[in-house]
Amino acid sequence: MTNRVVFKGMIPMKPSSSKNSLILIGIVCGLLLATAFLAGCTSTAPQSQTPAATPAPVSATPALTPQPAVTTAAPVSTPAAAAATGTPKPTFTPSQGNVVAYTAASLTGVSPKLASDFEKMYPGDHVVFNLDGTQALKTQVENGAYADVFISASNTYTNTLKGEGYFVNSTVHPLTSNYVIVILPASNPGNIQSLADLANPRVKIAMEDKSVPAGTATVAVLANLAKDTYNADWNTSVFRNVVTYETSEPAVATKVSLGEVDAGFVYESTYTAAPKNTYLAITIPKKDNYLQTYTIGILKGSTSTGASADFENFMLSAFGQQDLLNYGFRSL
Amino acid sequence: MKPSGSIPEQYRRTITYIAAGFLILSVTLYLALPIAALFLRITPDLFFSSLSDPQVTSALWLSLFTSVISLGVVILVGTPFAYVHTRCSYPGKVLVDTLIDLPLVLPPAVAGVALLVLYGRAGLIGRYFTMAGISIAFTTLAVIMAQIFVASPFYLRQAKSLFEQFDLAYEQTARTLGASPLRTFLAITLPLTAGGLVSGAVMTFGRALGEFGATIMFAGNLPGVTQTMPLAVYVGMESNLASGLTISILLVIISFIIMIAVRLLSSKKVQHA
Amino acid sequence: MLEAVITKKLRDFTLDLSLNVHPGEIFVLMGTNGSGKSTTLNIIAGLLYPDSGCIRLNETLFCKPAGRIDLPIEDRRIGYVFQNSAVFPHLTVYENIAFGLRVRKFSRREIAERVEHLTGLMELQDHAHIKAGNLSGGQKQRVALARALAIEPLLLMLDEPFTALDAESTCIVKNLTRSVVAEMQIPCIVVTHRVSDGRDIGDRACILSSGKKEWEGRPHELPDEISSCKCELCSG
Repeated sequence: MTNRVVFKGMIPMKPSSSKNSLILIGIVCGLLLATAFLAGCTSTAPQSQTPAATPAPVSATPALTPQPAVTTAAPVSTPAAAAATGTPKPTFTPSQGNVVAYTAASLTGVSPKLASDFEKMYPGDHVVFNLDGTQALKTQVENGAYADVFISASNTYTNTLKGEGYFVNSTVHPLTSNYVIVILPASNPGNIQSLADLANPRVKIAMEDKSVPAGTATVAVLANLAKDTYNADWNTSVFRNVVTYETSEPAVATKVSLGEVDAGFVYESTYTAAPKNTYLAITIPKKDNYLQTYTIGILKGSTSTGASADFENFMLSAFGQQDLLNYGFRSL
Repeated sequence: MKPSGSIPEQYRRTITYIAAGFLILSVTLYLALPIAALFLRITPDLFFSSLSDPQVTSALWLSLFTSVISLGVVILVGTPFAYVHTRCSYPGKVLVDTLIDLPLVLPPAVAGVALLVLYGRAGLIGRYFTMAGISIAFTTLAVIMAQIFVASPFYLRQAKSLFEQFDLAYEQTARTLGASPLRTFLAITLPLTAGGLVSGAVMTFGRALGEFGATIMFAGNLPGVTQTMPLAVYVGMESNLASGLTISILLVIISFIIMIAVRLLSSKKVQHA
Repeated sequence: MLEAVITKKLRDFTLDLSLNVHPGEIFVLMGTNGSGKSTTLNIIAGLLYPDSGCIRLNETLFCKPAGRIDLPIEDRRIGYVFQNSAVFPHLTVYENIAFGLRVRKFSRREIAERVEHLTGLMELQDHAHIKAGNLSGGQKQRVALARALAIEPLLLMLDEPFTALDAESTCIVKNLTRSVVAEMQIPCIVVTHRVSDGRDIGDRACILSSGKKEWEGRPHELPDEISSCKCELCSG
């Protein structure tokens, strides 16, 4: 009889009652499946964010960087409010009072103010923001994620969604606008004094990926600057200095605030909303700048049409517009 | 003595089989269907034309390169470490034991932030590297470091467990026959634990290959330098669906190849265990 | 000649004994399970360290805690056959027996000579190239013995060598041990719990109980049962 014991402590399997084990396994698997089902039903689409007023505090947590959100798009028709808005409701029932707003990430800083002012203007209504790169949100909606309102940072994506029939087209309106600006860490480690310096050797720049609206805007801005003021070599050098293409605009701000890059391209609203002395900034001449137009619209799949209309009214009203202006957005 | 009102024996057996069948089927489908869906969503033409997309090829090359190196480092450093850790008692051993498991429960993005504030240009240690002209963050090295951080527990736990359970009599005998501790380890312990170590290595490789959160935080996203396959999938899914799907499928294929290769290797080993 | 004086505090009792084994003599160490027999062998081999005492083999000082002397295991040149033989399962019989010689960098020819001689002695010639993991218990024990003898040890220690063996293998191993020890004129310690084995093979014997020598004498004087019924429950 060969002695196959290599590792001591190997206990021979007792032939246990197989039926009992099967039943136990069945119960456990059933519980797991039930839990997964319940989680799917009650979760929001990923990561509603309620950060503090600062979009990119120096000690930034990664809450603003995208999770692989695409894979968790919850294809359920139940609007959810069990997200991190700070006012957790125990159970959620579909009712007119709740708005799920898929919102471009650059509105992260202003979103708490918008939420509280909206709820003052329309008591009983409640809004939950899902903040992420517009491109990510668009993909989620296209894959069945539920949203009432969609705030897009890119006309192109808005038009795509309109064409695909996701919007109630009559409700799509321009909302606000934003220019691109260059921000530097407060200590200016790269000693950037002007836009020309961005092409200096060994400068590290962070930019958004071209799939992010802010990324396309940045590329356009750089092309304009190269055409008007600097030259193509400058443009090439700047791109050579890019060390990362982030997947959302706040992520760029985070890298700058941590001092890990010398400069980053973000929206003016991000700079304006940040606490004093977080960043230095270099403005871009208006003629070369790219005015990013944001649109707001109600989605066809919304079951909360009353509250969604309320929300859009608020956003387009003087109150909503003033909030946006206070956080650095530009009126149209 | 049958309790009254109970289900007759033959029905009970059938029910058991059905229940078992249902369990197996549901688990299998839950795992297999998403993979199948990937393949079904793209046409073969689109798939093959995407393969020549530079974004796809550079992500593929970068991922394989970094994962292999990460695995190499984990094995070369981790194996002797696990051995010494199990054979010696030293002050703080319990703490080290806990630390080994830490990356398993830490969210990858948090790991990425931690690495960034330590090794980044403005980081606690990184600033000295910067003074010496070395940058770590946003480089391929950062990708490797992130992978090693999140994937090493898979190997270390396995190696630790194997060495702990290893019958000391083998090592002791070798020592009495004149072998030094090093020789004992290489000639006796390693060959007899190799099978388990390989499976630990496979899990480590898989985890390194799939690493996303720490990578994007610490290494950033730059095609050809730090854009590994998972990052390329994420970016691709929003701008270029075909390339996103293609890379996903490539990842699935690579994983399958590795698993099959390992099964073949370990079945050979079992024969003379 | 082996002279060992050992004191070591163990979990349940203190091991405290002295042992003298002459060249060519087989000393049988008997006692119930947990009385400290294997621990004694481990200390002599260098796998454990005593609290105090002195272990000397011929002219060489193995261990003296007072003087902080501790000769490494691999330098003691002891042949130690473990209770479960511990043959390396991934190596062939040949490679197992050759292991100690390869470590000592013997030439290939020398190794071949010795291994062939020993496999012949152990009646394992036909199994020389079989992986040791595939052998029977008795065969493994013989491989372990051959492996220990290959390095020409200055001291031979066998821990419960007969427990796993059938009658035929037991006979072979007993005869071999006696002849090898007599021929090489080395001291030999055999740990066993079976009185009959002790009588067959031993020149002198002692009984250990809770770490202390309870009795010492000639094997034929051994009581029929050690500590009455406790010994029969010994599983080695």
